[in-house]
Amino acid sequence: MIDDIDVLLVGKPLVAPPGFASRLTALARATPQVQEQSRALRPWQWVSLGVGASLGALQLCQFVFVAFVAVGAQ
Amino acid sequence: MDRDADISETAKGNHLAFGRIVEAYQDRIFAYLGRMGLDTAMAEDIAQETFLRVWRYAGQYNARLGSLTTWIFAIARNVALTGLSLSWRRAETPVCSETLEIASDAPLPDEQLVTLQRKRQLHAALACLSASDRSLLSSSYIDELDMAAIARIECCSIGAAKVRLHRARQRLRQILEADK
Repeated sequence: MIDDIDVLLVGKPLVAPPGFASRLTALARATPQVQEQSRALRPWQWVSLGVGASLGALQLCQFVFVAFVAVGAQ
Repeated sequence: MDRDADISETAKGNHLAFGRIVEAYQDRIFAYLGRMGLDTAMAEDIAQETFLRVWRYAGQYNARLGSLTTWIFAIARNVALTGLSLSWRRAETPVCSETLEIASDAPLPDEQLVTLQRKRQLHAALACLSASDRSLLSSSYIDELDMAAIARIECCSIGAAKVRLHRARQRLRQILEADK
């Protein structure tokens, strides 16, 4: 029966109708392609990243300074 | 012919390269859909949508993630499963014996009648399998796809694909034996 399944599934397969490829090519001409978006960061993203990093560093410095002063006062 | 070069050209909007890809894969896609038990009309709709997606998303094909064959069959599988679930909801019959008809008006010899009957039984049995199992079973007859590629198409591990394939064949055999 396994042979039967193989023979039946493989035998007389469906084939593409005549002119299928040319019809598809014509359809493709009328279909816009999805453009792959660039994964590189845009300038405003770099600026935003820089500002965020600067603010974070400033806050860290402030915390270290306050801690240093508090330890000194004791 | 280098299909990877064709898909790169397709991504740049080259219709001729796209036409070559369609020519190269159309019969394999139709055979795959036919083995899933789809009739000619539905197979044509699904094949058309598959190739249009290839056209639209050609730029997203990445050869490092798998071969072009694997990518195209994964698209065909997803479109077919969506199509089958939609036709199921519309209460249509997704599986049809139309693909099995022997194109002749002449009286059929006994042997052909037996073959035709067996094919009808096979397609009735296929209808009892889930769409994803039918896809897996159909993929296993594509020469270019090894089990790793089939597993990628089916979004499962190689072990799971082997087990599912074995069970699908076993279930198909049981149904056919019961019909005897």
